Amino acid sequence: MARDSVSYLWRSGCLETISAETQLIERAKQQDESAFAQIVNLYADKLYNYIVRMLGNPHDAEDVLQEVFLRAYQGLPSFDGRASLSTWLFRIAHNLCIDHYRKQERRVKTVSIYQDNPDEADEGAEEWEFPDTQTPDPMQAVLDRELQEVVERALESLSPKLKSVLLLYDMEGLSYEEISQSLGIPMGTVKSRLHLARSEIQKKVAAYLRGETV
Amino acid sequence: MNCTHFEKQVWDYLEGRLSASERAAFEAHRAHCEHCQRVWESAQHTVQALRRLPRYRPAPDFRERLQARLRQASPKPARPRLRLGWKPLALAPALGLLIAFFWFYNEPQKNLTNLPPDAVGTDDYTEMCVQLHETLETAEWSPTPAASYWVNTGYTR
Repeated sequence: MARDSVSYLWRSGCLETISAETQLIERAKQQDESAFAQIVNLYADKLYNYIVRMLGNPHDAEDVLQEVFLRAYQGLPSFDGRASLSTWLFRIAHNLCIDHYRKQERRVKTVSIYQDNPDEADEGAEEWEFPDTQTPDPMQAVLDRELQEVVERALESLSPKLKSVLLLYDMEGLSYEEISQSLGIPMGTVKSRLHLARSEIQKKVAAYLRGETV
Repeated sequence: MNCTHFEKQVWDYLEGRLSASERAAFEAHRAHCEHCQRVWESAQHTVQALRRLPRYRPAPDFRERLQARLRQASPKPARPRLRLGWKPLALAPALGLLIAFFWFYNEPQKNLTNLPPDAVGTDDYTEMCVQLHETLETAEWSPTPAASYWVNTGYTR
């Protein structure tokens, strides 16, 4: 049975990926700069997106991302491989976000960086990616955009605990187990927080679909 | 299936985590419940919108700036981990007994046999107090005691 699983994983390319990542980590541990640069290339975008969404502020997010990689670089010799590299990096990022939250708690921005501060978003260095901008029906495109804004605002209003689980699952594609390891919470808590977070957003989406002002 | 049960299962349905029978019951309820039909639609829109949210990317020169910062930092050497688990706890009582034994064994024994019979059981502290009182009774009163008082009585704070 175990052998079947291994051969399945090997055929599906998972083991090759795992093996390649292990080699990359070993090289980075031996202070191979190019190996660490590859790790940065692999995870910078994912981590940056997570941090921006958690903090709601692209400018602070870049400082936090630098700190994540700095800590990873310094802590890599102690990395024992019990968790995957992505889980470990997301854990560092999440802890730094929570630290940042605590520091900024009294002056949390409640305004949307997307709507209320468009100039800042334009002059920022971040790039946007709209996966579905070529919708044939322009009316549908407008409705999609409106719905997305409703979801953006609902996401911003979530507590960090709910938001982190939702982002890691729905945006970054981590499994329940990986989220459990990254955030240091039981898997049951991951599931319940995900359910709660989605339900919170769903309520606002439902109100928007009924034509109410959200 | 009732509406509460439907709402609990809606996310699992959208992710394909329900069994065939659960799926059938879910769909049957949705077909005749207007409220749950709306719940299902809003849940579907929510998941779709979440997965289509635009992604942020760091600035193009981020990697160069990071590299400059990393060059200033050096990796910390790995700290050896002490993996003893619960075993030291089991040794703690034995260690305590060992310390108690050595302490008891090395404690200087009071040689009570050389003392006069009436001295046996005398409380040193009480005797010192009696002597102090006697000295005070015979001493001349003075607002501040003379230095000899402190020396003679051996009084210390």
